Amino acid sequence: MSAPPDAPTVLADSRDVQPEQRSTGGVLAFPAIFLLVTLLFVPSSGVLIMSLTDYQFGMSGFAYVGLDNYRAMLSDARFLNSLTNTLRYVGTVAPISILLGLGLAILIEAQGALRGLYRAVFFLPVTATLVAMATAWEVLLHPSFGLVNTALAGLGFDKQRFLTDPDIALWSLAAIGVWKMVGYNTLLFIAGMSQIPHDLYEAASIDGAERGWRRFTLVTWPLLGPVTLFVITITLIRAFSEFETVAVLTNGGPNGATDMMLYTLYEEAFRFFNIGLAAAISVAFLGFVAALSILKVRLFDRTARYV
Amino acid sequence: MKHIPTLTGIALLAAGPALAETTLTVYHAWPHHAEWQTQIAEEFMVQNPDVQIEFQAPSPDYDEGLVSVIRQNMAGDPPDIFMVGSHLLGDLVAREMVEPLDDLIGDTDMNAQGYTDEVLAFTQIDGVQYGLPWTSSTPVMFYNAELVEQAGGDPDNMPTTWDDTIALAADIDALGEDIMGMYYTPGDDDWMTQNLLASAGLAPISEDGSIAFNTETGEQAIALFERFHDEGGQTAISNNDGRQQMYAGKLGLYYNSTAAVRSFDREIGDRFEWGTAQMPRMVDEGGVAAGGMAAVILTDDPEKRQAAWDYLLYGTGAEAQAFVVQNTGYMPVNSGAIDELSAFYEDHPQFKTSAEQTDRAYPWFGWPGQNGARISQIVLDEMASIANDQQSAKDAAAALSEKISAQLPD
Repeated sequence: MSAPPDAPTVLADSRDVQPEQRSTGGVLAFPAIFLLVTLLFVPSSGVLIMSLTDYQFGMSGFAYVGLDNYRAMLSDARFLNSLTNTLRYVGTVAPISILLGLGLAILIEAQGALRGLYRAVFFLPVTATLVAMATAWEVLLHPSFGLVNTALAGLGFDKQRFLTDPDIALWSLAAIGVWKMVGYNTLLFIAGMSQIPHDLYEAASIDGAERGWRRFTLVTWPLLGPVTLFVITITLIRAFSEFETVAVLTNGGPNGATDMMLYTLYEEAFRFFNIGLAAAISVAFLGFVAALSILKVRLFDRTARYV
Repeated sequence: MKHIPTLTGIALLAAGPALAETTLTVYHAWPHHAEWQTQIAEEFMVQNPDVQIEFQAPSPDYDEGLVSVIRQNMAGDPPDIFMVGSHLLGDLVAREMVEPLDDLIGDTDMNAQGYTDEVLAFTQIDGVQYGLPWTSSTPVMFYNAELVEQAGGDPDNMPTTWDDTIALAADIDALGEDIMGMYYTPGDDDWMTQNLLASAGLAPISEDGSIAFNTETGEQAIALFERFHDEGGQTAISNNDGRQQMYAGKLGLYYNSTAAVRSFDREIGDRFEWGTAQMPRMVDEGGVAAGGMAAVILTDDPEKRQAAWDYLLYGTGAEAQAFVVQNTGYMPVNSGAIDELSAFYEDHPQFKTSAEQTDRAYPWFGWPGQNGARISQIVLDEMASIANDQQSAKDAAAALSEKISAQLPD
């Protein structure tokens, strides 16, 4: 995307490639292909096969059960609840953390002296170990004397059971999710903005779009297109894969209120030992992530041609 | 030449481990247990220089320990000795990972060694001895003596029935906006719910095969949890939060395993007077559910099995058990330890309560079949729904009976 516009695009016609070049290419590609097959395709096929069996973790035998696990999955109230929670979580965390990330990026880049400080401050949550941070959140959100509740009480509001009230718990996790992801998104947007050629802004200002909203809609936003697409995809995938906060803070409770897909998968496989059903959930999860990735690649190819 | 003695010393040190002919790997749960587990092993190695004990990094809880051991077993290299929550013993047996101890027990009279039949039953499956109990506990009532007094109660004479206990909790709760009357932890599995049933004189499944939640008494036992919230002032917070509330002196009564006694001792210190009392009863013959971990031998090697058996006998012997009790709050599994502990119990009465109620202890119930962990989760979820007013105890009891019977083997 950063190639100069006047550079001729050279696409080698496959008919021009000599046989020895082909074999060299094959040799050079071999390590990547080998790793891809052993680390990705073989294990994924293993999961696919296991999803068709009644295998229990650690037991010696198993039987082929066809699509029973998928049927069980789609009729299992617990899985459907977990899927709903996941979608609500993604539907909240992704848009907020993307828009907030964009807003912060613009504000930080417009800042002069303290730019580096702000970047670091908002990026810190990304570098912190989330399990340790989750424990810190637990202290902050303590129902009686956590800092947040003390502040609420000081302002005259009722104290809340942030992590144990079934009506609030999921949104508490979503808030922590936004806190965790917004810094990463901000950084990506900042990187994207630094790629925008300065002369485009000069041209825009000659055309009268000197500052503020018009400058943003005319130059910044269109040129951030590819980056935005990348941010959307990665945020959706990361939000969909949320696991740590559930495992550390709520264990999916109370009464399944914060159960999410990866946590359900983990419990089915490693607490209930039902590998068949867990494999079926994995396949569904893989399908979702793969669909997003393919969508991204296709859209990316179409839109990444601004500069 | 003055270096020679030092060098000899180093050589001797280096030769130390080489004396060991048998190496045993031990895997236990709970990282905060590592200290006393290691000390038992060190003492054992002093007495048995031909055996070397090595520890794997402890698992964070029983469930993850079990997963890890199953994985290690699939890879063909399980630890030689494993400490598992005794309710999970059935999972090891179903996977044929553990052999009965008959060959090692032989003609030994275990009763004469200080192991009562009740204690041995904790680690039996269908009457077969698969392990020895390494620790043992029952839940107790922890109380903040100052709050109890302020509410008009007598710390030396705590209530023995749930009705009186709930009334006391209500009085404590009324002491102030920031004070909570009671907190009965739902726990990480169904153990604390088993305790509610036990206080009503019920095992989760009775001898005629009926599920306790499906009986009127069982329903009343579940309704206790509803009354804790409606009448006793309990709020549906997490166990961690409840403990912090207790340590802060803002909670009147707290219910959990006696294994927490040592932590209470450390966290509260002299800040306020506290104590433990026996678990209240719902009916006169009400009991408590015992818990704890089983030590099992996973190795097949005859020589290692013998060494591991020696280690099990040492760790569950009078001396080591007295040491465990003082460092945790657990009860001794060996009756020989009671004598050694008499002076300690005199000075630390909070540690003694659990041992005083063992005559009414039920074993930690493991659900038959392969769905024990799932049933535990069902119980936790339904109890959470009671705590959060999502459904009545009556509906929860009905849901429990229905969902659990669907998970039990036919």
